[in-house]
Amino acid sequence: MLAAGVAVTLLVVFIMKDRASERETLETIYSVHATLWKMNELIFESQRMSRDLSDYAAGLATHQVVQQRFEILWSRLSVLEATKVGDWADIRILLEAYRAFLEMEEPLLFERGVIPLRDVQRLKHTLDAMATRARQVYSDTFADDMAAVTALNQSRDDSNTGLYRIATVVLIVMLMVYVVAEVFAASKAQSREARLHAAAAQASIAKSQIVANVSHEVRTPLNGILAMADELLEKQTGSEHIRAIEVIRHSGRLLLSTINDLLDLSKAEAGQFSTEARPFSLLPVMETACALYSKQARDKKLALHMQIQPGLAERFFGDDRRLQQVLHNLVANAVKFTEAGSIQVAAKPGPDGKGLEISVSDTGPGIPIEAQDRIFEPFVQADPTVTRRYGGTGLGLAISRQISEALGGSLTVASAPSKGAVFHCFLPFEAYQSAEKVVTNMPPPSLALDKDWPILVADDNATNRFIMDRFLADTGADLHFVQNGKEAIEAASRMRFGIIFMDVQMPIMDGVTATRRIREAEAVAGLAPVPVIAVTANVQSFQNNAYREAGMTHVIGKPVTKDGVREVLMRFAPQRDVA
Amino acid sequence: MRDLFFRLVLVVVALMGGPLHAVELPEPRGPVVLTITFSNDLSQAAQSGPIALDREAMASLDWQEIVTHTSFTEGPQRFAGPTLASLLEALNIRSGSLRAQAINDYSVTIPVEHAWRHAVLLAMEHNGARMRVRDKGPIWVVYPLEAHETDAKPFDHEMIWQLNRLSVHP
Repeated sequence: MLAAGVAVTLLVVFIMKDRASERETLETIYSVHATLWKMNELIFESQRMSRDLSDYAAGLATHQVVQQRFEILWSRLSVLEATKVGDWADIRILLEAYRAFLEMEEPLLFERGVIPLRDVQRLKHTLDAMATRARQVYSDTFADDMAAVTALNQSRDDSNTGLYRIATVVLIVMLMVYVVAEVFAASKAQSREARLHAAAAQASIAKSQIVANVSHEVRTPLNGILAMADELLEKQTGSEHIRAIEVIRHSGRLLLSTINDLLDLSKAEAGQFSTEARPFSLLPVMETACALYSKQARDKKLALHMQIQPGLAERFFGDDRRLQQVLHNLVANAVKFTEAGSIQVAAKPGPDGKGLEISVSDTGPGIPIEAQDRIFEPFVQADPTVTRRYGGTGLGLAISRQISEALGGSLTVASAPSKGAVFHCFLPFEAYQSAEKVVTNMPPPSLALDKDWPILVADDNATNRFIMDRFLADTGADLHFVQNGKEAIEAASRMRFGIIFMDVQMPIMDGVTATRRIREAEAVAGLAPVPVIAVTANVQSFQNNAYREAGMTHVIGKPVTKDGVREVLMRFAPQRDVA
Repeated sequence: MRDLFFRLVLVVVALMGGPLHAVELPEPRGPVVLTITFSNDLSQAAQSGPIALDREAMASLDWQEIVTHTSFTEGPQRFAGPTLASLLEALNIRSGSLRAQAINDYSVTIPVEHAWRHAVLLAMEHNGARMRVRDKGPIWVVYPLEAHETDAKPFDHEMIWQLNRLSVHP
C-alpha cells in the first residue's frame, strides 16, 4: 500500500513536472520569440527616429513628430526591459545604454520648443551608433539557430533546482526505505522459515528417535519369545506342540525383521549406519537368499534362477551381512510382486570390471516411470493398495538403497509397466584373493566349558538373565547372575571370572561404569583383565568405541542369539575346551 | 448570404440619411487620438471621410474602469477608457473586422464581434494615469482577463498599444 501510494505520488510529480516543463518550454520559446521581435522593433524605431531627425533638420518633419518618435523609443525600451531576456548579458548592457541615452536627451526634446541643429546632428549620430550596436547584439544573440535551444536548456536546469527535485528525492528516498524494509521483512520471514524448518527437522529426528527407542523396547521381549521358542524346539522333539512353536518362532522372526528394518532406517536417517568389511564367499550369500524364498516361489509356480557370470571372483571383501539384507529384500520383493513367470538373481563384475553387480529381475507388473524414484522412499509403494494386498512395511527398498549407498554403491531400477523390473545393486567390493579359507555356515560345535572358567552375567532384565541361563546351561560352566553394575563389581571382587557378559544399560550402575571400576581394581591388584562382553541394543559404532575405551573387550548386539553367545565363548574360552 | 444582407442594410441606412455617427460624435477640438477610416465601401466613403476623435469624444462614449490582468504586466491592473462596443455602436458597426494600427504603423486585425463578446476596452488610463506614448498610449486595446487566463496569452496579438488608427472592413 505504502509503495503503491509513493509510486502514484511519484508518477503525479513526474506528470506535473512533465506538464510544467512543457509550459516552461512554451514560455521559453515565447520569450525568445518576443525578445527577437522587440529587439527588431527597437532597431527599427531607432532608425526611424534617425530619419525623422534628418527630416527635422531639413524642415520636413515637425518637432512633435520627433517627440513622438522619442516617446515610441521609450516605450520600446520599457517593453524590452519588461521581457525576460534570460542570461543575454549583451542585451542587458545595450538596454542600459539606451535608457541612459533617453534619460539624458529627454530635456533636450521636451523642455524647449526647438532642437538646435547641432544637437540634432549629435542625436542622429548617437542613435545611428546605438542602432548599429543593437544590430550587432541582435545578430550575435539570435543569428545562431541554437539560441532557443540554449535558452530551453537553461530554463530546464533552473527548474531542476525547485520543489520538484525535493519532492522527487523525498519520494525516491521513501521508496528506497520501503524496499529496504521489504527486504528486511523478507529476510526475517526467511529466517523464521529456517527456524520452522529446523524445528521440523528436529521433530523428524525426535520421531526417528522414538521409532528407535520403541524398537529397542520391543526387541527385548521379542528376544525372549524367540529364545524360548528355540529352546522349546530343541527340548521337545516329537511333541505335538512343535508345529505351534514353529509358528511362534516364524512369526517372531518376521516381527524381528520388521523391527530391524525400522531401526536400520532410523539409523540411516540419523547418518549412523554402521558397516563392516571382511572376506566372504559370494555363492552362499546368494544361495541363502534364494533358498529363503524358494518355497514361496514354488508355491506361486515361479521359476527362481541364480546365475553367476563365469570368471567372477568367488570371494569378496566387504559387508556380507548388509549384502544379504539387500538381496533378501530384492528377492522377497520380486517373489511378492510376480504372479507368473520367473525371477533371476544374477551376479557379475561392476561396469568397469571392478566391484560386484547383482541384479534381480522379475516378470512382474513392472513399475511406472513416475513411481520409480518414489519406491525408494520410506513407507511408499508404487501403488498404495500394495500394502494391503501384499503386506510389508514398504521399507525394504528404502533400506536397501541406503545400505547400498552406505557401502559406497548404488541401487537402481529399470522397468516398464507389464515388462517386469530389474533391480541393479552395485557394490564396490574388492575381489578377495587370499588363500585363507573363509569359514561359512560352520556347523555349531558342541561346547563344554570348564567349571574353573566361571561366567558372570550382569543384566537387570529377568528375561534376559533367563535366556542367558538357557544358552549357557549346557556348557556346564559355573554361572553367576547379578542385576546391576554395582553387584557385578562386588561379584568380580569376590572371585575371578573367565568371562563377564555385561548389559550396558542397568539401574544403580550401568555396565560401562562397572567395567571401568573392574579394570581399575584389576590394575591395582596387578591381575590380567577378564574379558568383558558388552551386551547392548545400541550397536552403533561410536558407542562401540566408548565401550572399548571403558575397557570392554567385545560387543554383542541384542537380541542375543545362541550362535552369538557360542561364537564369543569359542573366541575367549580356553582352546582345550573345544571338543 | 450574411455578407449580402449586411451590405443591403448598409445601403438602406445610407439611403435613409447618411451615417449615424456623423451626428452623434462631436467634432474634434483637441489633439486627435484616434482616426477611423472606412474601407472601399462606396456608400460609407462617399458619405463621409475619415472620422477623427479627440479625448473629449472618446470620453463621451461608454467610459469604463476595469481591473484586469495582462500577460504584459504583473498583478492586477486598473484600466479606464471607452468600450470598443460603445464606439462601434456609435458608428453603427455590428460586424466585419477592424484593422487596428499603431503610431509606428504596427497593425493587427480585430473581429468586430470581439467588442461585445470579450468586452474589449480602449484603455486610455493605466492605474489612474493617462497613458503617454511611452506608456503604450494614447490607446491600448485591452481584453479583460482573469489572472489564470493570461498564461495562454489568448489575445496578446489583438492587444495592440499606441493605437491611433482604426480602419473598418466589412
